Amino acid sequence: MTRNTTFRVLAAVAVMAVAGSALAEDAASVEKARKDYFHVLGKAAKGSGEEFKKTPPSIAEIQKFAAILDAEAPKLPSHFPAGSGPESGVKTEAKADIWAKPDAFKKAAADLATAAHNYNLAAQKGDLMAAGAAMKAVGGTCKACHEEFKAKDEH
Amino acid sequence: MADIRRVRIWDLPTRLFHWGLVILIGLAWWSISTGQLSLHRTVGALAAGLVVFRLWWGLFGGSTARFSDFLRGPRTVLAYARALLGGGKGPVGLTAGHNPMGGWSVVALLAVTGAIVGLGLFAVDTDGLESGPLASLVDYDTGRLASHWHGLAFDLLKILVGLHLVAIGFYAFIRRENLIRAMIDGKKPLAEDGEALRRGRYWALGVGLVLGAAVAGLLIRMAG
Repeated sequence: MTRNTTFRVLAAVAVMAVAGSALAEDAASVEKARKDYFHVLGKAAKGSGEEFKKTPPSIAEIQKFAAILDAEAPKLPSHFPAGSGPESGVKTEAKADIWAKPDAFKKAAADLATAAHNYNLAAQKGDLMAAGAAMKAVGGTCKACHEEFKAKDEH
Repeated sequence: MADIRRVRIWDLPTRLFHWGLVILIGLAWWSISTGQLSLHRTVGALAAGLVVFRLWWGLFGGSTARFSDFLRGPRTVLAYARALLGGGKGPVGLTAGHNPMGGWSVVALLAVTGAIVGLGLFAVDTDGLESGPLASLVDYDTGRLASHWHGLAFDLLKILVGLHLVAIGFYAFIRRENLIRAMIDGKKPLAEDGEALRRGRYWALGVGLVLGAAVAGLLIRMAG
């Protein structure tokens, strides 16, 4: 085998390995990524809420959390590809309604993105009062969507 | 039966603790089921105060409230269970305070209630928006775990309360002993020479009340 052929074989193997791993990205890994994603949102929400309770709150900290929520919120729909619901057999709190009522789900996700953006705008302006109210609105969109599209955690 | 009379066995603090906890457990369940997290936190803070008071009263309270009075070894518990199930019907109880089985049920109920309250202090909801008064000390994931165990411990409490009610039913219908009335007016029919309640000291009651109120008040403030 010439060096050139060896290289081609190795390249082909590498390409196949990448393709194979892409196929292996099944519902389980979607669920895992989804959970990790919502953990990022949950952490930023928890951090925000605690910062607002402090006297005085640090606007720098709030700006940090607001920026995370603003950047992450628009990615939400991408974590719900078709076939990653309860019918996949993977244990998930994602309800089948997410895919059965795609318009309502898109609207709920867009509400979050809008609210998170407003929160970030208020925070970057340094307006604590407005940021606090905007964060409450973000929380409202979390709850509204979870009410409809997230199965109740057993605990 | 002429020498049987109703003798005081439960002091007022113990009875108030008992019925207070019954009410708070009901309120805690109702408030979380209806999404009233503020009320849930207040109820939890009050329950924490009650548990702290009861632990204190278990050391320095009236005779029948003390752990040293009702915690018996496994042999005594087994012997009691055998006597209980093997007959011996009649209105007269074997003991003035908690019987050897009931004593452990008190400890189990108190421990699980304490665990629920303790876990609830650190619990965080799925949105990261609602949390217990000490949740800022832990990260989101730990708070979620605390919330999970908080719920599991409540499942365990429901089982223990169920057993508690079954036992009360057993005493009422099989042994003709009214334990509920005893927990309301504090009295139970006993032979006259039966050992009755020795009350706790007022200073011990005062300290216990201050301790319980301080814990409850502090947690309510922190949750607010």
